[in-house]
Amino acid sequence: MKKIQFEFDESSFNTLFPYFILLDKNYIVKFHSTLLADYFPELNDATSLLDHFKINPSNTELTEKVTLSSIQTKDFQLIGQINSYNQDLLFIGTPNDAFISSEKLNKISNSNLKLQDRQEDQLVLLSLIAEKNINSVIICDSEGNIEWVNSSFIAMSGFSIEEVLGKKPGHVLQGKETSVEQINYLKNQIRNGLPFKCELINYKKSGEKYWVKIQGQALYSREGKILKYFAIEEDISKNIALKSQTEELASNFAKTNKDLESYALIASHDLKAPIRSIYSLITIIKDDNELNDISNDYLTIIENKLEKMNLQIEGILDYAQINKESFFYEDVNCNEIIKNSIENLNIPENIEIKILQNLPTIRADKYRLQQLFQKVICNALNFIDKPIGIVEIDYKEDKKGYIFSIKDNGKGVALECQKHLFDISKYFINNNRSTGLGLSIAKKIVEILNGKIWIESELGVGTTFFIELKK
Amino acid sequence: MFKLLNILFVEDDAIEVMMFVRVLQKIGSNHRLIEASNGEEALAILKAKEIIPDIILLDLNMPKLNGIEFLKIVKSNEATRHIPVIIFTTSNNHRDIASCYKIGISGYIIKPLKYEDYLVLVQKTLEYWSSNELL
Repeated sequence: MKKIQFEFDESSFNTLFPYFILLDKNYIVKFHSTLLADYFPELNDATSLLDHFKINPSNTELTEKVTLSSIQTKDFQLIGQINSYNQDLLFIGTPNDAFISSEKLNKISNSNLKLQDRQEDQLVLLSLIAEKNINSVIICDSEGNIEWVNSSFIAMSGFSIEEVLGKKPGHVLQGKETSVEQINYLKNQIRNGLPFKCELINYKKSGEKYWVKIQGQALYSREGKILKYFAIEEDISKNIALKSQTEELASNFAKTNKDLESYALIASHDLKAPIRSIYSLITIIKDDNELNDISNDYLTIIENKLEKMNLQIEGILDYAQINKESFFYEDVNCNEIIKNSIENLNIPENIEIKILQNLPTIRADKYRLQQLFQKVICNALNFIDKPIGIVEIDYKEDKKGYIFSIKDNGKGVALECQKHLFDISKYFINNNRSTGLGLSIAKKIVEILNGKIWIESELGVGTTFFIELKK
Repeated sequence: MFKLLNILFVEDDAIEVMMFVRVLQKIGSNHRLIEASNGEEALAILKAKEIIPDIILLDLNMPKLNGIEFLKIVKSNEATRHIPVIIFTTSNNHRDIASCYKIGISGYIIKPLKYEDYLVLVQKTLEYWSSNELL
């Protein structure tokens, strides 16, 4: 093992080498990188490495690789170095199966490294660590010509060391689809000795292109002279491919969804006509013939079934017709909306609807907002089981928006039913007037309006619906 | 005081036509019924000018030329744009209603499920139009 001397600068190490641990000659942890602690949360500076990593000092040949298993099942290969000065041990690690996240890479590139006097030793160390990096590491001389690359670079780009030495990375890697804007940005940053970070297309030796996230900076001497350039390239082709795949999937999904909605619309609509025809024909048959009582009853049962079917179809149509694109936003006076809703509903005489205060004017689609309130009020009416029914409408205002409440003294909703209340796949038909879809419709409208709807309910006492709409 | 109307009834569904005829008989109307089973046929009748209808009762959902397309043609034609068009449809689609009124209709009746309700609606509609002065 090569013995080297290094000066230990915590912050530089932490930022440059994501995974390392420094031990004294008794294997006591002196310092470790914060990222390593992410994988070994139980680590602290006073902990004995022996206990944690089960290293037997007598067996440990530091020239060998040591594999550590983290409790989070991430394996690290650590390579040890002895500091000839004080016999400290430094382990530098590479996770076996992971690449360093870009967030962590940011930390690396944002530090300003200053080489100390013992540059040569530092560089040996640097390259050792760089060599273990899963990303491509490129070191260039002060002219910007490649001086050294790690094995990940060779694996990623397909070039051999001989093919790239002394050349400018851009000339080797960039090609016709590489963004000119990014190339100019890199040139400019490098010329001015500033750190750089961007995403761009590189080309392998085979001509295959791949996306990299490149980060790097100049390394300065104490006198402020540029000695080297240092860059790390992460292959993000998979991320980019995944991103475009996700986008494609999302747009396909949106289209399928739209197709389905319009299909639901057309199919439901087309079903209405035959139901109407059957219903009318039954009425005509009844009218034209002297049927016996049983036949008459049967026909009435068919009529009732048809009525229910028709209601259900109307519900589905109502639901399917609500779509984001058709929303027209304007200032809507909620007093007016509630008044219209009440007029449209047939309020039984034993039920009183109280509006507790003057309601605000909000920005929404007028027609849909009214439909929303109407569905919720209608639902309240349907569940009132007391001789005198009361529905109270109120609202609260806060910085973000308005919370409307519609409170009834109905029979309440059992806890196990509450979560399915707005669910279109689990709708309940409770009486002949209801489509069972009212609350699903209400929820769909609320969601398009970017709001929330929920209930609080007590069996036998009543239910309060809350509708939160953002300003 | 009620005038007899020439009614152009545009409807593709035979049962609907049958029911409408039945309603007319039931309410004892003597209005003259001209039937067209789709938009194209209705246009041909209008073009022929043998009978100019006083009102048009129009279904929206039809093959070939649908109701809205037919309506657009009628309302953009100088010779026919004055004829009141009343939509008779099962569609309560907000967008349909809005676009019909935009193009220009004189009524939008949603055909109810129940025959008795339908009868009342047809009767009222015809009574209203037969008490109007028409061109």
